[in-house]
Amino acid sequence: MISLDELKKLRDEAAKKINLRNQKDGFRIVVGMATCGITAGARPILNGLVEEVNKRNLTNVTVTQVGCIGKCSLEPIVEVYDKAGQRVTYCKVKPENINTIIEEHIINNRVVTSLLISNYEV
Amino acid sequence: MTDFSLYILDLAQNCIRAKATQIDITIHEMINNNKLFIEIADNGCGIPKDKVSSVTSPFYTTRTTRKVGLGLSLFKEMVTSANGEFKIITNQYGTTIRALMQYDHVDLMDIGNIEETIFCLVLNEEINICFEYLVDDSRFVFDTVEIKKVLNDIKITEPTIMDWLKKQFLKELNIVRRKK
Repeated sequence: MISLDELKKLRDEAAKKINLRNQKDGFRIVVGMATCGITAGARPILNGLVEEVNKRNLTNVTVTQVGCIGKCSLEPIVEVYDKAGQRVTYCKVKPENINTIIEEHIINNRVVTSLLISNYEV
Repeated sequence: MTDFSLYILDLAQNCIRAKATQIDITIHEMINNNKLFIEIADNGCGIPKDKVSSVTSPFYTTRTTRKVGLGLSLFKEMVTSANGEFKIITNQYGTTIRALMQYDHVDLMDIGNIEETIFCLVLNEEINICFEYLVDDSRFVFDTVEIKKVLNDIKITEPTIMDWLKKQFLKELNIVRRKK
């Protein structure tokens, strides 16, 4: 079974660091995870985004999941909300795009135009 | 969908849409009895009585973003193809989906990457997941209620915590699987 004592130690270490962090004013990344998304390969995209954010130690990003976004044929869909709540929608995202989205959109603040929904429909 | 873990993730999305705060997932490989048991239980709002018979139809959905629902109908299809039985138990306190299949059936899918499914669900911080995995009588339980109790004010999605939990999860999973 998972050692709760060890978890407690990790928790206390994390608690020290978290005080230094600014959790607000960040990006929110959302991955569509309904039947359509799952079938199109959304699960590895979601996990890949979480791993990339953690690896780069980006403290101003939360990654989460939602249900069907309504454009099933364009899944996997990744939506990025900035601090103002502005949304950018990326479609048909592949694992190799994860890095680009994080690096360009989150770090350099540049929209990845090649993945935009506007490439597929008006 | 290519394996069980994807179906489970899909069914768990129904639980989330039913506003569940607790999702219990059980996988039991009963190799001695040649059965595979899967159960997904939630404390969501349940399925209305007059709708229970229609939820496994691909043409039924509660969502408004598209006109067909697929999750439960695909799951049922997959279960029956592996010589299995499928049951929905539901009331206003929650819904339980249960399936019992023939373990050595040629159409039975692989369990697949169950750790990815569980950790996708763990990202929903407001929902608790209790995952139980059994191979015959060896057992592994991953319960976010007790984990969150220890974490107290620290989020379960905190990178160092997530990483560690994932590693522990895989370790425990492999111990149980080695008993096969």
